[in-house]
Amino acid sequence: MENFREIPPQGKPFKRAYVALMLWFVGRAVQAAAKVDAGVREEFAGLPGEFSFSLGVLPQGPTMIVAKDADGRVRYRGWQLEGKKIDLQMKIKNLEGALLMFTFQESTAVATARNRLIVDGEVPAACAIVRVLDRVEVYLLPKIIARLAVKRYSDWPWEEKLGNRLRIYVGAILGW
Amino acid sequence: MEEVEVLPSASSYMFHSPVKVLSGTRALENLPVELAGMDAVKPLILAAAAPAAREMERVMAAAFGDSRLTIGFFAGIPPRPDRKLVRDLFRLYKDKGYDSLIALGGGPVLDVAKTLKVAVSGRPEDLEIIAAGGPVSVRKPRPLAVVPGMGAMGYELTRYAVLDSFRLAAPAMIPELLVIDSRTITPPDRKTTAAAALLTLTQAVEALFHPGRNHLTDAYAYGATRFVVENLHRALQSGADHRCRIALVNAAFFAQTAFDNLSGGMTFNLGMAMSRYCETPPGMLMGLLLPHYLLMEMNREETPGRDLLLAVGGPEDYAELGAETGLRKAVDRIVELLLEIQSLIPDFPRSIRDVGLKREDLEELPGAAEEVPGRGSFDPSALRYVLAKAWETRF
Repeated sequence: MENFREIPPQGKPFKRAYVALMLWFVGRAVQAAAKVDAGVREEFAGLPGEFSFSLGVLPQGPTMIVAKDADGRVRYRGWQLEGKKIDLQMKIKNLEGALLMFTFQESTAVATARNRLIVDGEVPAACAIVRVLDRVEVYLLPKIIARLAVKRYSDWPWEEKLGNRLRIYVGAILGW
Repeated sequence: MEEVEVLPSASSYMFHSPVKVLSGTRALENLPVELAGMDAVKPLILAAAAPAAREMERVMAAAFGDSRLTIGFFAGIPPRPDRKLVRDLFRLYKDKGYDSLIALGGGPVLDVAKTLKVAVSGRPEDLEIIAAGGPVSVRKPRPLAVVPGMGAMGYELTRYAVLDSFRLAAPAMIPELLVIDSRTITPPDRKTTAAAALLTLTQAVEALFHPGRNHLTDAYAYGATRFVVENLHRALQSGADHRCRIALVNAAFFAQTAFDNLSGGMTFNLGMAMSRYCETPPGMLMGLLLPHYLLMEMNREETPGRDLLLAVGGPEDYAELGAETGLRKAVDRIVELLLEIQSLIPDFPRSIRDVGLKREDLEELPGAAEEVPGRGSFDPSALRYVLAKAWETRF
């Protein structure tokens, strides 16, 4: 038939690599922040004893998995969902939506309002995780960018923020 | 103070709109996950045979780029499609194993997509049954998503389709999904934008005058009218302003939903019928007819559209003038809008005499207006009155 052709999926390797890198780093930063920041620790303490969540992109990832064990230790668990029990799955509907979030053009709250996320799990737990991610982003990003990424920029003492930021960066890079 | 009854207890109504709307930045990229939610993983995209088709193909390929889905792209829908094309597409759909349809654009693309949807969801013979006015039960319709452009033709999100001599109407033909994304709403020429907006305005205003209007059709018609009034001028002045274009496409959806739940109004049907006589976009003709229809309605004591100014002028003007003087003011506003369009587009017609109609055509038009899809039925003397007034007037 004229004027017809089939178009196979071309993939977006560079965008996927960028989002994968961001998820990897944010996952390790959450692990570090749970040791360093009292607010993050408190949020995880409010979650069930053993708890795991994932944040990923549909349909084929990338994904990050973070889990809290019975002792309250928070660990980054990689990106492989197979064989893992996940209590809360947060799925970004597509790679472009993930890019808008991870290039900080849209905050998590705005992305949720624009229906870019699917949450499979308890809503209170999802809200707690969003608050954790907001705190981690405030540590990881310079103020001018973090203001775009979070709903409200926290006004913490600068020396506390700077100290925690350093420890979270080192923790995320070295995998503490 | 007299208490106004917002929802009269005696009123009963029905409203139907199965369309899910995704509108805004990167809305197209949601198509794969939305289709997956409807058990569809292999869409066939239909588009017009137009020079812009190559660019649209690139946009759609990018939107499905990370989806792991292979898409079919057919860019060969002519301005007047026929049943043979639907049969060919039916074979293509079945042979290649597609399970859903995406219509890219409007007008004839949607006519083909809707009829194809009925054919692939049931039996191809169902088309003949629908055209003959018979009932067809489509138990599990295959998903149809619409990615519209700027040139709305009035029927895209409705149950109606026209295919050569066929006039089809079935609720199963209403698309399930509407995706409005600035990348597919490329700025057309200003005439197309103005014509589409005037068509939308006509559908919305006539919904407010329809005797069967209800709270939900009112809400849709109000939204459509406000969007057109607030955005048309900017859309014509600055083609680059994609927010205005998105607002106008949203308005078209609102107006068509109200239209689908009621029936075509007199101006709409006359405009559609005239368009076939003189090969002029129907919206332009409706814009020239609408003020005369409204003036005629204004003189009727029991006209249901006394609150038109609320939609056309906004709540403040309506509160200031009230319903009685407000209707006259609303007509003035619509005429002002028409004059504004004519000042921005010098070759926009100023009268129905400018579009190649002949005086003797006016005799046949009332009959032709009854043939237009949309369940409308009108008093022939009223149709002749509006046509005579429009013939005499030059804006």
